[in-house]
Amino acid sequence: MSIKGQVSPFSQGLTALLVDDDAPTRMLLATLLKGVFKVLHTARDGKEGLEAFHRMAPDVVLADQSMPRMSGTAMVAEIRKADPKVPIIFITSSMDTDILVEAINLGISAFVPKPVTAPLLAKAVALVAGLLENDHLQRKTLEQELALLQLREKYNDFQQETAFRKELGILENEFLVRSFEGTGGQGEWMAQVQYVPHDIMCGDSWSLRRLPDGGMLVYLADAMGKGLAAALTSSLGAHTFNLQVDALPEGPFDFSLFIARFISRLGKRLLEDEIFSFLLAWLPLDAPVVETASFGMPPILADAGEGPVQRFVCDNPPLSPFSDDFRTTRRPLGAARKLLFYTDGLNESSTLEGELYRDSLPTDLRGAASRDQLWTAFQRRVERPDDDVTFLFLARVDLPVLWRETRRIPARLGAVDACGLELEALLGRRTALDETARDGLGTALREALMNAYEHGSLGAEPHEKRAHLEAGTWIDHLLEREVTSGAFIDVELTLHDTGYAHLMKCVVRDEGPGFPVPTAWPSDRDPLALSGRGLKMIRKYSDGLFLNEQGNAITFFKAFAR
Amino acid sequence: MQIVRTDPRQITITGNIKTTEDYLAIRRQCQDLVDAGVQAFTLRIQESLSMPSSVIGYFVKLVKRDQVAIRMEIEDPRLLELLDELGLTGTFGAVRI
Repeated sequence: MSIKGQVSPFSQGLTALLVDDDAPTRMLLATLLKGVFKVLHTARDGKEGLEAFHRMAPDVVLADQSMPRMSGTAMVAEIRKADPKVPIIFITSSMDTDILVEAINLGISAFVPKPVTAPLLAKAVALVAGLLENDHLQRKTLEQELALLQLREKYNDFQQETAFRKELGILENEFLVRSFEGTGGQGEWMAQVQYVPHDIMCGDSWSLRRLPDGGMLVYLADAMGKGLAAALTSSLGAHTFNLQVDALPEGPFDFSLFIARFISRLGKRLLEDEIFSFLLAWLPLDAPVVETASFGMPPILADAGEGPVQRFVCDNPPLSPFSDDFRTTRRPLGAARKLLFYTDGLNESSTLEGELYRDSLPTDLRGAASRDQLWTAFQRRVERPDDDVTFLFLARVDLPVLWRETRRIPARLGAVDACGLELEALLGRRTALDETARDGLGTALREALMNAYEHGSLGAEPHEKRAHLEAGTWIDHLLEREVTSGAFIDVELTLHDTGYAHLMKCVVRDEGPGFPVPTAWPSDRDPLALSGRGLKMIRKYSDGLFLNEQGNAITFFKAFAR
Repeated sequence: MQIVRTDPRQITITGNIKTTEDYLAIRRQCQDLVDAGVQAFTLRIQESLSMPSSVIGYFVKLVKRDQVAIRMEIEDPRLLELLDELGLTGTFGAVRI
């Protein structure tokens, strides 16, 4: 008669291995265990039992002690090497203390004395089935908890990524693809931003805005602490800054009034024990100066290409809810060709030599003609930044001219192709650009020329281009259209001397109406679009680019060793 | 740039891909294959460091619109890097040789 009714139904999902050399005992046990397990394997001695264990991997083992070839304890000792946890029921008539002690030490789960009786066998099987059921429940609970944690983690990641997209939406660079022609008629500047958050949510924020009177206003912040709280304060700062700029009236800019309003608005939102480091810098259109109000930010660096790099130290302690006054400093730009605003993630990162990067920063700034070059120099010295890294790299692009070449070509496909090839060859003859840089700049030039030809000169719309590309008629369409166009394209290549490097500046201008100047690069552009990669390729092959106000002239440049 | 059919299902391009003429030659060779019913072929690109956006656009059209499977065997890592930055190595089955 089976003991099935006396054991938890959980056992019916288990497999068992019964090892006994005595055939009548095996038969008796098989009868008693009928329906108790999903499968009951049998073996006739310890050796066969061990082989069956390795082959079948049962959930439970029932073993006799006295067997030929290999005893029960010898078999269990081998099983324990492979599986220290599988429950084992020991069935024996032996009362030998040594054997029983050995069995206990081998982690036997239950003993059933011979001759076997149904109640004692049921008790032993119920015990091991209960152990396995508990184990199973614990595992299941752990798995559920893990799944829940993963779900929460996924949810948190999603929240952080969404919040970061919002954060990015607040940051604004009106000089992303536009140069700044200001500072008292003393120069044309480009402004580039490097923004590398350490965590998804970042305590750094920035904004570069053009004022109604044409000046430039810079905001850069590094909120106290890390994570969400820091990101919130920092974003609030950027948002407040942008709202104030948006609301500025036409006419002369009042820097002091702007700062007073900004710190009044932001100071109210800080916690009692919170401080906030940020800077505001104003580059007026009509004077070669920079006026700053830095609240606990690292020094601004100004490089003239010779002499020591100047450090403009901060003007105020970090902002707190109790700040009630501020100072500004107006400094002449003089011969400065580069300005660097940055958060302490840049200068306080540790270099591979164990020094702080601040010691190398002036040297690297002098050698860099663009944001990318400074970032490359930083990465050469710092394996992994210790914090968020943000820097705003402002550099003059109207530098001493070594030579200039201009071309004026009709908007004809043949002329565009020929001009691209001719100018690339000229770059090879008259500059020290290496093959990679020359080919890249040549590619950028051809892309700019094609853009000026297709869109600027012939007025082709993107949807029109897409339709013709799909039909394979784009070139025929252009050739047909160019016949009636009397437009010209102007190209200007200028080699500048920065004092520490050569800078090749390329300008391609068409006579079209221009297109809107973006303030952010599209981040999720479809890689499988048939067209629209030209600007991205120009970005890839140059160290910087900007468009004119009208959007019909593109300037890009490449720096290289003298 | 020179372009030749080196196999019933393979086109080899030598020299740099730069001009509209290059674009037209590539389009002509590829289109001949497609018009002959070839649904998968290999482009072996030797030497070229880069590729105009017009040529890239044409290959995207071949793969996505005309459902032609292409494999690009590229000699110069700089071209491979460009395709990688444009997110197109998978689409073009681009590998370094």
